[in-house]
Amino acid sequence: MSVNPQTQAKPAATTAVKPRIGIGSGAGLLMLYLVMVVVISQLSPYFLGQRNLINIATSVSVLGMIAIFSTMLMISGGLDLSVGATTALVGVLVASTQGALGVGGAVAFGLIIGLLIGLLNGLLVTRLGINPLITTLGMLSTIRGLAFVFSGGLSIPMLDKGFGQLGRGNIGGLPIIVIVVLIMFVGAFIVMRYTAYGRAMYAIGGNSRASHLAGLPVKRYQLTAYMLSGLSAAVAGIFLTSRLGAAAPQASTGLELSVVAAIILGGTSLSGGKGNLLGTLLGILILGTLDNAMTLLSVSAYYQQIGLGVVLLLAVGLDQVRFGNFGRFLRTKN
Amino acid sequence: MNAEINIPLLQMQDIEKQFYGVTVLNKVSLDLQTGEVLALLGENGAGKSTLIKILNGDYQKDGGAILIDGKPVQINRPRDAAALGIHMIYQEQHYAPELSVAETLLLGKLPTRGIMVDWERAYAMARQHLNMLKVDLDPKKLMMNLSVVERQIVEVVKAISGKARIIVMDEPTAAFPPNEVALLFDSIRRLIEQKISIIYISHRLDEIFQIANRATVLRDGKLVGTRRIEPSLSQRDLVQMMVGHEVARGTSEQSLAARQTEAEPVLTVSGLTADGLFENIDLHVSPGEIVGIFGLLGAGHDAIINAIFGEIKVNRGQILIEGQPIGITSPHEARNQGIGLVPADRKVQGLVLDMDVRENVTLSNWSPLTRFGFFQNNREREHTRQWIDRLGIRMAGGMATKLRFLSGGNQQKVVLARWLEANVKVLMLNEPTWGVDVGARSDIYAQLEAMAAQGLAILMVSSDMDEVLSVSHRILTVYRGRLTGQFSRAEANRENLLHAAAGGAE
Amino acid sequence: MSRTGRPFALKINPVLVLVAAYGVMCLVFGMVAPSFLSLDNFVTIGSTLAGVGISAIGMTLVLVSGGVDLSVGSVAALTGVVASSLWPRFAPIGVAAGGALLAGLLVGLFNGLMITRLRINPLISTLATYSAVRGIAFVVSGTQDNQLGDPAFVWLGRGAIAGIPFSLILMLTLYAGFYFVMRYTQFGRNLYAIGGSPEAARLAGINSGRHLLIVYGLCGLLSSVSGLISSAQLAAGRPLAASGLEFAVIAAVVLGGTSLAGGKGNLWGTLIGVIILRTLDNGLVQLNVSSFYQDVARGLVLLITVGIDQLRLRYEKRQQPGIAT
Repeated sequence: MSVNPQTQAKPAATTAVKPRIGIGSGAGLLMLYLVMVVVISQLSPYFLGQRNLINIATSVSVLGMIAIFSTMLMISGGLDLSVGATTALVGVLVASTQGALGVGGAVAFGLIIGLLIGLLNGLLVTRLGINPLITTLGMLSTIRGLAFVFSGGLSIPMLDKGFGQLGRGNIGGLPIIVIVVLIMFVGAFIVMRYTAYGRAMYAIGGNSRASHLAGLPVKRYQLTAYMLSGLSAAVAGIFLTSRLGAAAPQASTGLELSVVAAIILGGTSLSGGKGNLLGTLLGILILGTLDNAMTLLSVSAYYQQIGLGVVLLLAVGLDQVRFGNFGRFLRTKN
Repeated sequence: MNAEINIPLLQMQDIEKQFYGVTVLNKVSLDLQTGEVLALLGENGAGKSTLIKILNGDYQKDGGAILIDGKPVQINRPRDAAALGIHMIYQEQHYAPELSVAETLLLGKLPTRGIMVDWERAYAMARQHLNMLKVDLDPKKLMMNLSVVERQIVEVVKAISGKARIIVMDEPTAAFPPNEVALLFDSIRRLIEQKISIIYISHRLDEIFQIANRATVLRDGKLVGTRRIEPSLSQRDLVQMMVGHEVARGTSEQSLAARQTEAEPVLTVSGLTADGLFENIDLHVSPGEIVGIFGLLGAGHDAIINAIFGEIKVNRGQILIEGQPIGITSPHEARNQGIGLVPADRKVQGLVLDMDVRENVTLSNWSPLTRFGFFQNNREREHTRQWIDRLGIRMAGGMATKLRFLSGGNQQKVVLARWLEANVKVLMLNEPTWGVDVGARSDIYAQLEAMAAQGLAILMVSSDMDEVLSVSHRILTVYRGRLTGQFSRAEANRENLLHAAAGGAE
Repeated sequence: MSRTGRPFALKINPVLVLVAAYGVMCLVFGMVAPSFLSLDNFVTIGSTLAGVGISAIGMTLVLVSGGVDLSVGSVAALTGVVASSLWPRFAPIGVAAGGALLAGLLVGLFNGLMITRLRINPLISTLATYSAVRGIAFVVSGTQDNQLGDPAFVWLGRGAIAGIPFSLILMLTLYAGFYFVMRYTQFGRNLYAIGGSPEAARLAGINSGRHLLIVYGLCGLLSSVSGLISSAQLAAGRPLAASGLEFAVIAAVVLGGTSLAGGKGNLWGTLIGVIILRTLDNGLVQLNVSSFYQDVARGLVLLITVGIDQLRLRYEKRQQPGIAT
């Protein structure tokens, strides 16, 4: 008897609250997070300690760097599943070339590679029109393979002490890595909310055809979004390598799933045109906290993997209830 | 056309419907006799679609009753409606491209032998159905290989073949050229003879007067009245019922006569050719001129403006802006050259439905509204307010209203406002008032006139003869991708336009 | 009025193009590695087809109906793991295999429920099960490979009838059967409708939900069969098995002409796609290419096949001018 929510038209009356801020869904999410925190703190005495909290912040920072720009990309209607692989590849390349190019040169090289990967993804999607899911999935495999090829399957240590400071050092009690992420976040937030670039992202994600016909250089914007995604993965790779002291070709396997889960959990819609960074921030915190809790409670990593799948399903289930979009990603953009 | 005056076949009594507390249908009643064609009229947003969707089971009514043959019925889902013999033919064509005509006609009901499909019988049945409309189509042909018109006809055949008693047609001729309307009307008359009734929704009043027995008019969710279609009823009477006030004619005669401009053309096109679409097009538009391009479906006239806008590749020929040849390969470049295009399908090509009025209006021109990339909110609001007032855009929540909540006519005004805000020199429009209600239509024409008076050059493609005749200063006709005629406003009339557009030799 | 020219290759039946490409590829491999062009080698290739090929049937059905299933690799692995965990301690081999297939079917149905009832995007939904099911496989298997040495079972994967690998016979039989379903049954034709125009299917009264549920269930089940065959060949259930299977299967299916957008595709094309890709794998091994490069190759093949699919679509679009003739 119930009316199918998908076919029901909306009335002429307006909702004055912009869904973009996601106040409605955001509050619910915040509540969820607070409940989570309370529950976990009951289960483990270490949870609310300062050390642990900083741990959480640090561990989500790598995820966060990527998630910020993946959010922007998703809002514009794109998707990049190759980020985890890029993180690993850049780490491997930086570690491999640190001798030949010096640490500074190697880092610069790594960043350029990240940009180029993003560029390639973007070109395949915008010029060739291949479905972004399949494109970045294919790139994922290729890039991951290359990471193994260049490293011979082995971890490569980073020898420079100064480099290690990036990932492990503090400024005024806060890890550098967290500071960097916060800066990225604030910058991205401002851009998305108040600038022409941000609006272009929302417009293109909302209706790329109309944006194109309105005179926006859609492909150019999409390309930059993919490039930023690749760049952010490169930055994340550099920080990760710095923290671990070594580059591993299998690093960040499955990272893309966490990124997608966090973003969608935070309210950004898979089909584009809707969403915001605050939600992503919350999404990351939720995932990171869950991760941390499972480690504190000694839950096997494989249960974590199952857990991630479940969380993703829940997140998208919520997404469905909120926006009712589906299937758009399977249609290749033409 | 005789209609039996017994118990009506269909009665919808005092239908009420609300969405989130907003009343969309307020005790609307209509009745349909057996074997009659009832036109359902009203501006967009009047409630026609909602009423029909309730009849079809897509929506649930909040109040009122539906009776078939005098007996109350419950229609909770489309399947219930289908079981009662109610069939819908929608405006948008929904079909699976890789299925054949036969499969489309018999979708979900293919004849089987055991678990296997009996293809011979399927094709035979399909041919039978097609013959009902005297349609000559190969049932084995794949849907994606048919023309738009052929596909619509298949759609009609499909509805007819399902033992329908009531067929609702929503703008069925929207994509038809004039001579194929007659074909459809013949079939409708045949259906009437078989005691099937039709509810016919259309903005084309001339069609209504040709085919309908009665017309029911809705306005703002309420029933205004039902009239018999007879000589004493005029189109303006119906329009008045739909709109509720006097509607001015498209353009005043005086302003048209005065438009003999000597000015240099802003836009000149010479020898423009796009292989497979149009060939050797020469035209020019001067500031202050409204040039209309009229053609039948498939004539390629809409492709011309898309090519000027950079959407379609041009193989030969030149485009000049203010005398300077330019190369345009994308709408982005076109906009930078001061050319704008209001596209034909606003929902898909024109608007970002989840953005609000303000954002959609300013979409094409951010530079005067931003400083170092940051939006100046006050300035943006000012600019938007200006267009809202001048075009009479109506929205329920101010300029923060999301576009999906606006009616078709107001949505179209937003697209128009966007290009006016972008300060273009040449504005091209593709079917400017398609699916737009009468009131909004006259607002749009008025604004086009006003902008032309201020020096804008307007190039308009339309398959609506009345529109082209009432608004344009000059009319060009296109047939099979070639220019076949040029008429001034004074020279043009329905006969010679149609003649030229149908390829008549000059 | 002239039409824009179209590359010769795209004017012919695409299936013939694939066969031709296959021939060329074999010749090239044969020139570089003489051991490639032997009957023995082709029999070997034949025996490796089922691992991807059977799952590709399910993926074709899913893609035609407008969806996608990224969990096929995880399901295949789960199947081997479940079978090797049930046998020999808890059940005889027949029951263990049956239980394993059931697990695959259940995952498929779960996917189907998520997609049809909760309306979750199939991409994300199966991405989630891809992760979760792989995790379950690890947990169930105790993160180790377990033996599946029962001779009758192993025969499924390694046995032959008249020199032809049983797995190949099984695969071809399934292809024939499902081809029949796709082409000649109401159910199969409805899938094309659902994928080609969900609205039209809905308006025709087709119960898309039920169809899709069955399709995803079938995909899970078929991937299960694939996984069972693979683990029979390995004589073990490995939690890490079939990683990357989803790439191979999607690439094969798309290569064969099935569109990612739905409503278009056929099983013969898929079969040829599977043969091409498996031969490619075999060829790379013959050339002693490291396994890391194989990963790279797989990714590239996916990109190239989808890229060509796209270009094909574009040319087809350009062939529809607006002039009425």
